[in-house]
Amino acid sequence: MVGLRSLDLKSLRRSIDFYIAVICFGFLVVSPLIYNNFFYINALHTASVLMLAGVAWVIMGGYTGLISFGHAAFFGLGAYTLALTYNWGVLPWLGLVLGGCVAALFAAAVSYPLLRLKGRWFSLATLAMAEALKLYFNNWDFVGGSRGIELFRKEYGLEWIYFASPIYYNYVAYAVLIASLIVLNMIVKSRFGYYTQAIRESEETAMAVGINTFRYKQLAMVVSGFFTGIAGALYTIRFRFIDPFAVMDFAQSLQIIVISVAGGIFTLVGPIIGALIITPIAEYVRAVLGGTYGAKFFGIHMLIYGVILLALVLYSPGGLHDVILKLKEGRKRE
Amino acid sequence: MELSLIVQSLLEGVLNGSVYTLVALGLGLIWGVTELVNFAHGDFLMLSAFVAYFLHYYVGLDPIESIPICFAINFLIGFIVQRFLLNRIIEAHLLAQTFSTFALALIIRNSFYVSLGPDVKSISNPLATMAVDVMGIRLSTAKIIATAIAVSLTIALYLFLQKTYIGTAIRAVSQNRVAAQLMGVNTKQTYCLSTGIAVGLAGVAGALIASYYYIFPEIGPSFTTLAFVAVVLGGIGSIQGAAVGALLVGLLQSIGALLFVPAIKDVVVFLAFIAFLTIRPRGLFGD
Repeated sequence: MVGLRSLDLKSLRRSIDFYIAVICFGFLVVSPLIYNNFFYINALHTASVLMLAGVAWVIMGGYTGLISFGHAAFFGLGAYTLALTYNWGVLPWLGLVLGGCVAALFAAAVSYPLLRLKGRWFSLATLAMAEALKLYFNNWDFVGGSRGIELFRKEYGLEWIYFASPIYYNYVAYAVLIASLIVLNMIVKSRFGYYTQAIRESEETAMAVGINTFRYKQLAMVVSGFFTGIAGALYTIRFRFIDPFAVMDFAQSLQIIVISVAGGIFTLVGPIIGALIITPIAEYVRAVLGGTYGAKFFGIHMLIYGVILLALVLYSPGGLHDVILKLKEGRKRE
Repeated sequence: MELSLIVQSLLEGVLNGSVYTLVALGLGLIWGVTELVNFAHGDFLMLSAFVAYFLHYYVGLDPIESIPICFAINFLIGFIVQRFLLNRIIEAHLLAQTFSTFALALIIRNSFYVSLGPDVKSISNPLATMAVDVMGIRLSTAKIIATAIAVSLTIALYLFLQKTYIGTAIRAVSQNRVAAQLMGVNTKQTYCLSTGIAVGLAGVAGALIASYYYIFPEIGPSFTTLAFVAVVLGGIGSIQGAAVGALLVGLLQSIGALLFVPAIKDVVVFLAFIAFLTIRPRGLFGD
């Protein structure tokens, strides 16, 4: 089994990652204050939701080697849990956590059959799982079927996360993202993180040194599902209307994958770099050229995602994070 | 529930399943020989359905008549993709292998969206509306012809793999790459040929589907997923398994549509698939 990356850059990475994260967050917080444009602020909000989902995806895809094409299922479950509980009168701050919990429970349940498959077949099975769930929700009257759910409670304030100005949603999203990153960083640096990386490099070796590989792969799925669920709930609280094709569609999984792979999937800051660069561009291309059904170049942003993905896996599988590391390393040697 | 209705929908399931067989065989063949999962398999089918549509629209060819052209075009595309893209990443790590065919699927699908738009097209030929009526059971003529062609092609593929020199080479590479290379088999060329044949079979399925199904850029993923379920049900790496698995998928769809709403028939397939995986993860014919 070929190792996925060399480990010699490890100590360097640890220090550089922190600075990358600080720079990215500085940009996220300050730039909307300078360039106060409705469209731009929305794009940054979408980016920060994708960052959280991407960081969660990386726990499975990067740290454990379980490449999932079905994260839209976790994302959608979080989104639906928040929408339902919000309308029942549960505070959305609790709803965010509940959304994560429902997604995590689902992840734990599906992990039993899914983890029986290895490698690429696992990826295809996650894809099928998400599509089946989407079809089911589309025909399930309890969650509104294909009509979707609207958040009907209109009470302004931080308590119910309902604001007149869009920029406050961004700051709520950043706060949740930072809190999740701190927790995830602790998780990754713990025994769990090292075990899952051992499984990624060689499952047989990990098993031979006494790691319960099934248990740790399952744990990775649960952690990943939990934070993806929170990301889905964050999406709902901003847009206040969801239907199965908005939150559970394959396009959702795809966005999460592309920003993660673009940034680098072997580090938690990878999706943050990826989303910060790709999401505003993709949203811009979609708004200008793509539009909705009937528009001239429907699907062009997906085409661009495909081209970016193919170019990255062929020429820079480590993503932008590796490019930054190489630049830094090159300068040191001179 | 009437007996004739049950028999009718089960037969429909077998007819649909035999077309899935062509798709599943290709997916299984590519996996067996190159150890790649072709995420773009359903999108190659979609591409070929559009070729059949345009041949009908501009030249007036019936989809059944356009099968050789569809096979040839898809064979060439599969050959070229394997030669210039997939052969480069065949020794690469899991990430590159997974994402390359996946990115290819996105590029094919969305090129069609960008150039033709998301509109649904269909071919209006007399075959599509004709039906055979036996004792109250009505079956579409187009589907019966499609089944006949799918079954004969499955047998042809089996004979090709068993009896010809190239077929033997393909089987040798799928059993042991290094040993086959030592015996003088050109493995790179074998990869190209088998991917060409597999994608060509998806092309035939596309042409068959064009005669009775709607054609739009989004039909690919559902065929990839169903073919995948068929391959895993039958046992990864087994030709007979893929064929039996595909028939099972067709039957499960029919049963799902019969017992619940037709819209969730694929949910039933997937639930049965999960249940099956927990009992027998190696599939029916897996070793």
